[in-house]
Amino acid sequence: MRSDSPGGAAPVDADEIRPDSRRLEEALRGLLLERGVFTEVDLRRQIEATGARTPLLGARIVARAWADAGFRDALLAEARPALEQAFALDLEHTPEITVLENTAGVHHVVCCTLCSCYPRNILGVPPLWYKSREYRSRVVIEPRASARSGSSTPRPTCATWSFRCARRAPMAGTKSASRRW
Amino acid sequence: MSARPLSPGAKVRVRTGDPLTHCRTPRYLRGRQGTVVRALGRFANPEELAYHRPGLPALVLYQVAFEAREVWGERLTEPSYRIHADVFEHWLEPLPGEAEASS
Repeated sequence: MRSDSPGGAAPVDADEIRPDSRRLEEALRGLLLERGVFTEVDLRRQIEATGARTPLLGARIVARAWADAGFRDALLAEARPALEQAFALDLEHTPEITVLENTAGVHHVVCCTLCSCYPRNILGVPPLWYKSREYRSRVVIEPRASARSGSSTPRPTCATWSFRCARRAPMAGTKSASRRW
Repeated sequence: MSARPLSPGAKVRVRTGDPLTHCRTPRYLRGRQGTVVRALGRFANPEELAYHRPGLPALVLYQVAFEAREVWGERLTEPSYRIHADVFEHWLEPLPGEAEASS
């Protein structure tokens, strides 16, 4: 925690992994293994499962939606069951997913607000720039210019842009839920 | 806290405030006026969860739409667009005289 952020609320710069973050991760991982919260095998399996996910699956999902109107409608209506059924995914522990459709007139951009909402189970680990302060600050005020300078350039000519910031957070996984304060 | 539910179309203003602690309400939206798109459900308050507190009772999370022109004013250098943000109920003030659910 930085000394200038008493509540630990300093914006995260994901452009680099700081050495103290790495040490913290090592210490936490060691403790969790030592106390049997999970095993080395569990850890390796999870790393492999996450590592096997890439944006390629996202591209396949989009291509399927282009080609299959029934899947497209199901995806837009309720994404999780549609994805589980069509791509044999287990999304039980994935927060709810909303899929938005780009059209000739509307292009969507998703901007991270650091709520841990990235669909890793589907797209893998997010690129570092996605959580960088520069991207998060810039794309919300000049989306068209940001898109033109980015490597994956969406159509910059569309009339309307729409953002979704901060998908909802899951309620699960709060081990401290019984604690009183 | 159990505010009256906000219906789609309700005009709201995001509260101002600058907590030093964990907060998911984007700073650039604070004090800005928007329109409720829909309620997304109830979720434990991440501002409490971040500090290992229960975050209960769960709060309603709303999807709120903002016009970029309203958010950025003269700083906007592009044609306006719409910003959709998920904002918890305790950050929203209903604007009087606008559509609200009866309860």
